[in-house]
Amino acid sequence: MSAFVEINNLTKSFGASPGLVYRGLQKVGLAAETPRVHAVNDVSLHIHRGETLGLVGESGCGKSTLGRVLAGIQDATSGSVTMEGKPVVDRSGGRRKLSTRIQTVFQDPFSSLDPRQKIGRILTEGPLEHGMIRSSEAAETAAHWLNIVGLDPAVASRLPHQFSGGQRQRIAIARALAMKPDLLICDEPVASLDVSIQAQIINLFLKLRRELDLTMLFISHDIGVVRHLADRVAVMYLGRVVETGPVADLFEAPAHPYSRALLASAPKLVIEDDDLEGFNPISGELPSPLSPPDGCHFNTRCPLAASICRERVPAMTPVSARHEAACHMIETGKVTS
Amino acid sequence: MTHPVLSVSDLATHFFTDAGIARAVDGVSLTLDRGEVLGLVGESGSGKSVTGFSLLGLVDPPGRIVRGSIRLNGTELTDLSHGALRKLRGLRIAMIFQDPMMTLNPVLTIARQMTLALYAHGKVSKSAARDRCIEVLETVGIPAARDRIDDYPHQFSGGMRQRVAIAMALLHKPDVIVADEATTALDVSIQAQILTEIRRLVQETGTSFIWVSHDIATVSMVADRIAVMYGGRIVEEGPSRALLRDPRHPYTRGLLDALPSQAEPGSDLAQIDGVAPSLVNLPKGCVFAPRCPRRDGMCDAEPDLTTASRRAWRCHHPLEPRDPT
Repeated sequence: MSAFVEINNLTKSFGASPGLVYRGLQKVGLAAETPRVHAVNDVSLHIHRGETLGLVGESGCGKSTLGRVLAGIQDATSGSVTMEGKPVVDRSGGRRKLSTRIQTVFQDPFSSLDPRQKIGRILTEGPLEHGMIRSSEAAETAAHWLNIVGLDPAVASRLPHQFSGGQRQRIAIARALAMKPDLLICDEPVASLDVSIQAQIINLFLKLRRELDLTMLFISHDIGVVRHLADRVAVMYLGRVVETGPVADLFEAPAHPYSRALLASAPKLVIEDDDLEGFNPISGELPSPLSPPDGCHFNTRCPLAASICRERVPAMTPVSARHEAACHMIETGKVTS
Repeated sequence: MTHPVLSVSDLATHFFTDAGIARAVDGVSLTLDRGEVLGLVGESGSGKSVTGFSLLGLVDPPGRIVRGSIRLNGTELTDLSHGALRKLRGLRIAMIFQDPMMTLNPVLTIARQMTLALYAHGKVSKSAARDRCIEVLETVGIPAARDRIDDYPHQFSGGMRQRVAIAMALLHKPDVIVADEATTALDVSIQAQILTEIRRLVQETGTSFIWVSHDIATVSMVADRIAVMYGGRIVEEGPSRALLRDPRHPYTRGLLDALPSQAEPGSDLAQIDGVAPSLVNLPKGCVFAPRCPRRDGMCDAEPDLTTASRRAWRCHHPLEPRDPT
């Protein structure tokens, strides 16, 4: 059975494209290869209908790029992204056509809303453009979605600058929902909000998921937020997914040494004296994505690294039901769940 | 009893804007002992950063310290001229900012800018200055500091740049370092490394820190005491563990309950309704009252500070202590 959303061997790389002369020189071996960053490197993932998949990792791990390729904002270098078996970007008829069934909520609600459009227009532009509603229904549609995200429908005639960050994020969520998406991609939607406002937006997501049966990809660097909202989680490091599993399993018993390190370095409230005991930062820094280490990308910082880790890329290995990790040490039994 | 290194009383910093007077800091009092880390926690607009900037006299017009006293080892800072304050800054009190590129000059090598900071406060020989710089870079955990000192800031990663910024703050062994969201821009693994370094540095050097951050969890990992700010004032203050275990102010309780890590996964979080007040138009009486679940008629009057066994709070209806002692 194939899943609702399938991401197969997806790679997205970036790099300057060399000029004509330089390309010629490269061909005859007189110039070096143009360096390319593999922001997403051979990633395969799936999302079931009604499920929230959390995507965690540190900056530069490729989690946002993955979200953008999934939304069709950027094209994949290779690999495929399908929803119900159909590619998310439709190229038939010579035009690049994005699916309206996938919508995104971005991190910064200040730059994601057009400052000169009224809220009502922001919410209904998409549905009107795609013939989902008639213009006579616009006001009603705007009011409906404003209600759902907890705003007074009367605000439809206001402009974005009249709202606080948390309210703007509600508007951005309403705009995405107004397209009745089957998949909602949330890229750090609460990262720029204050704690008390963040809790309001997290509660809104919980409510929406219950009421609208949303399928979500929830991208965040904040492990606490993902743990709270996601059903399943995928951990990325330098472009690769290193571990996936149900939230409870992965957070209780992370198998990949990187997931373990990431969880151990997450800041946590220190209330009792022994609360600091599990806190154990990983040494070293993220290698340059331009020249990631051979084999397992984590081998330069991994406490378990052996020679095989510097030679071969580890494959995803089952740890328990629905829980798998890409680490040679699992195969050799050095890591057990 | 030892004297505190820093004592601030009734500090008020206001911004005189076209929209009105923004009372960013309004009556903040705090003390800091030698070798102590005081965490200053609050959401955006609570006045925590402006408090930090005020301590170093770094408030620019239209902002101005309108009243209060800041005593650093007995010296009253609010009376000092610009020049005199400049002599103290970096020497006795230093600052670490959120973005290390704000601190570092991109066109100077680390060696050049660090030695300049040394020359600014006294005569040092070239080789002695260089040695001192290498020494502090090693203290903050920069590998191969002797080689890397001649690099430019762009040759360092974000985490290493922040270490360099911390090293510069440590150069003159100041009494107090104000760190404003010093690890906020860093990844969690790098943040964890820096928090561990700071704890070690405080033990080794006896420098006191004011650790300003919106993230109560990171603060709890470094701070001995925590002061919670809201609407320009400190609403609660006390030893970290006691304050977090048993908050007395409803706002502190609300902040803690709003953290996803404190709740059952998938359950609704206890949210604080409403939004932070506008500093230009603060509510009368208790500033938190409009959002407070415990408010009543009494809250129309500004609550006084209640103190009890090293704890203090500003609330007419504080939460009951969990384990009364």
